[in-house]
Amino acid sequence: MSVEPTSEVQVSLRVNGEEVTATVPARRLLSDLVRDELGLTGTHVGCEQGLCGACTVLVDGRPSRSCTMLAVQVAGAELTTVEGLLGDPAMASMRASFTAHHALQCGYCTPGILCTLAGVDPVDWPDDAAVRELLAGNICRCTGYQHIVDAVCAAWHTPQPGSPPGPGSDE
Amino acid sequence: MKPPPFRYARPTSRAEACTLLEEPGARVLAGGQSLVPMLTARTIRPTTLVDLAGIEDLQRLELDGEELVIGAMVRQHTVERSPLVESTCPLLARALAHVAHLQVRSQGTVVGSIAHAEPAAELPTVLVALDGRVVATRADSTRSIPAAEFFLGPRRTALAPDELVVEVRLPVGFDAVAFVEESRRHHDLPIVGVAVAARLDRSARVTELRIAVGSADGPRRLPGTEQALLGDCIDDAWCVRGQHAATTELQLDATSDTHPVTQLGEGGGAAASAHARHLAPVVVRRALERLGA
Repeated sequence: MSVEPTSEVQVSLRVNGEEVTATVPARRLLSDLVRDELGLTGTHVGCEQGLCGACTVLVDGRPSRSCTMLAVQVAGAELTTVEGLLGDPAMASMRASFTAHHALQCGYCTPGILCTLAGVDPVDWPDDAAVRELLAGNICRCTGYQHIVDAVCAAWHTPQPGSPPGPGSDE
Repeated sequence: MKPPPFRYARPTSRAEACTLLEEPGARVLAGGQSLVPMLTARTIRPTTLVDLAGIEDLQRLELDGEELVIGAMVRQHTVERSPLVESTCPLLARALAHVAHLQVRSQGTVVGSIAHAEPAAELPTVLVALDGRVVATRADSTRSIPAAEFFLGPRRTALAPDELVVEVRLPVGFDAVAFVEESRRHHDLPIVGVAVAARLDRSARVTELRIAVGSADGPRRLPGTEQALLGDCIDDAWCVRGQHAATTELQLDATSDTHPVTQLGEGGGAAASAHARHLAPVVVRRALERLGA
C-alpha cells in the first residue's frame, strides 16, 4: 500500500468541539483555514512568521502558533480557538479580570494571549515573573504588558469573590 | 507571503516515507516550526512534503542501555516535561527551556531541531556536548552518525536527501549539567550557547567533562579546555581557569585554518564570529559555575 502525494488534501478535525471537514490546498496555513475556510476570525494574524503570537490557538490543548502550522497538520486533532473559550468559566473569569485591569487596548494580541493562558496550568506559573515568562511568546504593542500581567495574577493568584475595580473604571 | 504550492503525503511507515523522499525536492515535515516559516518566506520550494505524523513508531522516548532514545516525532514539549529526561538526561531539559517559546515547543520536535541544524541552536549544541548520535534510514539501510560528523555547516548535515532521521540517542549518567546562553533578547537564538556535562568521582573530582559551544559558526567541543579542567573539584578558581582555557582555545582556532566549520566562512561573517568568540569564554565560565550550584 503506497501513498500518493496530492496538491489538495481533505482534513477532518474537531474545532471547538464540533467535527469539521475541509478540502484545502496542501500549502494552506492553519491560521488561514481557521479564519477563511472556518470563518473563525477571532484568531488574528500578526507577523505570519511565528514570532508575535497573535495567531496562538490550542492544538490538542497545547498553545501553538497557527501561522507556523499547515492545516494538514491538524488532521484528527482537537483544535480550540478563542471562540471556543467562551464556555469555560475559568476563562470567563480571566476575561473579567482583563476588563477590570485594562489589559487590552486594540485587542489584536488578546485572543493569542487568552489561548496561551487557557493551555497551561496556573499552578505552574505562580508569580509575576513566571507569568511574564509564560507570555514571552505573545507580543503586545499597546499596553506595555503590566496590565496584562496584573490581570493574569489577579485571576490566578488572588482569591476573588468579585473582580476588583481596575484603575480608570467608573462603576 | 504564503507557502508556494507543493504536494503532500502522510505515509504510515518508515519505508513509505523513505520511498517518498527519493523524489528530488521532497522534504520531511515533522513539527514544522522551522520548515513552515521557511515556506512562508519562500526560502525553500519543496516538490513534496512528507509528513511523519502518521508513522506510529517514531514516538519512542525511553532509556536503552546507557542511551536516551528520542524518536523523530517526539515533541519538545513532551521532552521538556518528562520525568525520565529529568532523571537521565537533564541537560536536554535545561537547554529546551531556552528554545524559542512554549508555543513553538508544543509542536516542534527535538529530532527536527537537530536535523534542521541551525548553527547556533541549543539542541545541536547539546547533541555535540553529549557526543550523541543520529540514527537515519534510507531504502534498506540504517546508519548511526556521531555528533562530531553530523553538522557540516549552517543548516547542512551529513544526511543524504532521501535519508530519514528516525531517532537521536544521547548518553546518560552525567552527575552535573548546565546550559547557559547569551542572546539579544530572551528566547532569541543564542549568540553563544554553552552546554556542559560532568562526571564526578566520590571525592567530587571531575573525571569526565564535556563542553560544547554553539554559535553562528556551528556547535563545537572545547577539548583543550576539557582536558585542562580534569581531575579537580569544581570551585570558583576552577571556573575561572576554564574561562582562560576557553579564551586560549578559541583564539588559537580563530587564527588557524584547521577547524572545519570556520574554514567554510559562512554563518554571519567575520564580525559575528569575533563577537561570539569574545563572549564564549564568559558564557563557558557561567556554565561551569552552574555545574557547581
